[in-house]
Amino acid sequence: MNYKSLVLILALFVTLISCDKTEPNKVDFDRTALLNNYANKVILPRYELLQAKSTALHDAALNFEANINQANLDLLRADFQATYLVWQACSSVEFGPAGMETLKLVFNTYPVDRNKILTNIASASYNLDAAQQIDAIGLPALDYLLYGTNNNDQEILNTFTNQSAAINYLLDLTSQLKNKSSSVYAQWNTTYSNTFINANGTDVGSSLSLLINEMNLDFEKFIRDGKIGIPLGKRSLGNPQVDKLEAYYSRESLVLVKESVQRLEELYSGTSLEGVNGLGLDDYLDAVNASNNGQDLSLLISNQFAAIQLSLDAINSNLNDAIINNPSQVDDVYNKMQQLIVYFKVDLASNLGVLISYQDNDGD
Amino acid sequence: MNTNKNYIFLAVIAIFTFSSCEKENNTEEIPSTYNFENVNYSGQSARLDMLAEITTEMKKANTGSSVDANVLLSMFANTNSAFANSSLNTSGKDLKSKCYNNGGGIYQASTFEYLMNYYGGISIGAGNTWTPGTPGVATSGSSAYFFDAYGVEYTQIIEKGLMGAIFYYQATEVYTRPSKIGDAVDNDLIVAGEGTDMEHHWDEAFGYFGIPTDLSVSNYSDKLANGSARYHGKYLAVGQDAGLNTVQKVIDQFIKGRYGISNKDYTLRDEAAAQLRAEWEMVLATTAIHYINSAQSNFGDDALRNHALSEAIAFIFSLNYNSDKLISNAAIATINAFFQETPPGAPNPVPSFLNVTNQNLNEARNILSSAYGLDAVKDIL
Repeated sequence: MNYKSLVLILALFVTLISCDKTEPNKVDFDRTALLNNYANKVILPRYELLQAKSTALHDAALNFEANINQANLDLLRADFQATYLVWQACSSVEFGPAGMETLKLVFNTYPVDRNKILTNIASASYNLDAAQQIDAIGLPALDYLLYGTNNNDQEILNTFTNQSAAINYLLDLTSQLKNKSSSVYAQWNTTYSNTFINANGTDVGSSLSLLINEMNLDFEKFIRDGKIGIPLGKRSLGNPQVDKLEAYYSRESLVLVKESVQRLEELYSGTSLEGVNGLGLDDYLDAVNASNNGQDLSLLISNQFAAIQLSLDAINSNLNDAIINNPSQVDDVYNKMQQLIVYFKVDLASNLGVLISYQDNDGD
Repeated sequence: MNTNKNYIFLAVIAIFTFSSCEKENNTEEIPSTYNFENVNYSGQSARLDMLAEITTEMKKANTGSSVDANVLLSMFANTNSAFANSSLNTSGKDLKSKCYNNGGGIYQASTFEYLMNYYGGISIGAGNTWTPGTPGVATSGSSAYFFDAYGVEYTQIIEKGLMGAIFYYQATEVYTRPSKIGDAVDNDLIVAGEGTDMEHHWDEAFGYFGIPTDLSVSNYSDKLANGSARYHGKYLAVGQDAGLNTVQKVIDQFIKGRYGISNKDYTLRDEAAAQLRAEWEMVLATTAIHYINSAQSNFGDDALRNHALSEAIAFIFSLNYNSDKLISNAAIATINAFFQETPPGAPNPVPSFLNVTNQNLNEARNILSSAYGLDAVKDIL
């Protein structure tokens, strides 16, 4: 083989591997099978579980209403925590029915407006579906009601015993979550799964685009910023804002962020809740030979997920305390997350021919 | 002959059928996208294209080139064949004549011309590195922005300001108001390709927003990617990303209004007109908060902070162009005070970011979120 041919072949090779948007279409990858796995094995079961846990939560609230005591408060709290954990698996798929129902806003807007909650209870008159109630409902509102400002169980029990309006509010909140989650699950279970699977291109209205964009958005804005960055002080010149933590009252935010990262990784890899690893974005990346500086991108991403979990494991207390006492550890989590975001937003998206289109800093 | 009679018979039946149809609020017929007959907003598209060329011209300063104010002024008034896209030069449309010009202390056409001259003048310094007090370019990573001595990026003030003073102003103060879509406006004579006057005026409001007629929530990211969602259409993303379903809310109102007009349901029309203005205003408010958040996240980075603040104040002063605005003049004045200073001996304050504190940003954001009911989501915008 002469020199010219080699150069030509190399040039061709470089051209092929440097192509971005058209490459995924040339690769023999079954996008329909991918979307099928996502719809039926990954996403639908998450919503099914969310509905189940939300229903159990509402039942526990009814049980608490029947007998306001410590035992039932403990049961209620257990179901609340179980629901919050399952929510972490649903937060990153806020498109389709969930988007139309603004499920994320309803389930998990925090911090709550305590005064608004108390006013709602005192007036016994409110429309929980109204836009201005967003920060008085959902899991964060339950977090406040069930754990209170100083986690004093007797005070909490007294509040409910002395005000039937508080019990009614509790039931209205859990009922709303049950109804919303049921509605979104029903839509996925009937028509939306097919809609999702059928939009199997990479362009207009494609599910791949929706999936990747929402995953990125949730990770950047809601996980990195919402759960870690803002409480840590990234918007406040380094001054911590602990009361902006998720699950601030129950002090469970570390558990939740670990769960959210775990579920995000499972979403990325097409893994079901039972741990069955089906077709996912990682497989797609491998199929298009996505790499970064000579290393497989899927491996880099998998390693980065592990690094994030390690940095989370290094934190020995809850985040309420860690942010104050060991901010550098929480900062480490932030930085590890940031690196993953780069892999997702820049490398993963371009290798799969999907444009990340949500607003970043530069809206120019 | 028989055939003709049959056709006439059928036509008569048809006429009777259609004229005796009740005006039902038949929501099953409302299309899910802006899919109507005789939609034409080419004049608006031309103006959006014009602003794009003005912006491209202004951004030359970001790479060290000075900018000729006369080019900007010519483009603004569409004189001297200033546009690279020659069809714009011969379009018979212009930005200046549609720009707000009713005084009241709000940036108006003459203000923007003054700023274009100002910008051309200071752009002589585009080769300098920005420092407080010296116009120049500030960089951060691959981003580069030309600021004036006070840290203000006039590319944003002018671009986003004209978005407000022309596109938002025309839609909220002219094309969705009685003078253009009221009962006295003709809604019977259909001009081929343009509809009735009333329909056409509503389509012009649509055209100013910057979205394609087939926009839906599911294809929004692709419309952003291919550029067909632009200007305000691009900033739908702020509320959408926060989970507010903004895309759906805006297109619902556009569809409802056009549907109401085309079906002579004027209750629908008027509801949609009012609600559309409110949703459009919300896009400005959420975007302003978004840029304040961005400035806070990058507070120590001169380039990113001042860039974000320049965008923020442009969206904030644009709230003024809608006479139904929710936020009070006093609230806007309070916010403005954080972002200006009065040079020694000068009669009036000028925009300035040299003294902004993080606390100012918190207060500005709180004022906005309070006025627009966005307290719950202000951190994630």
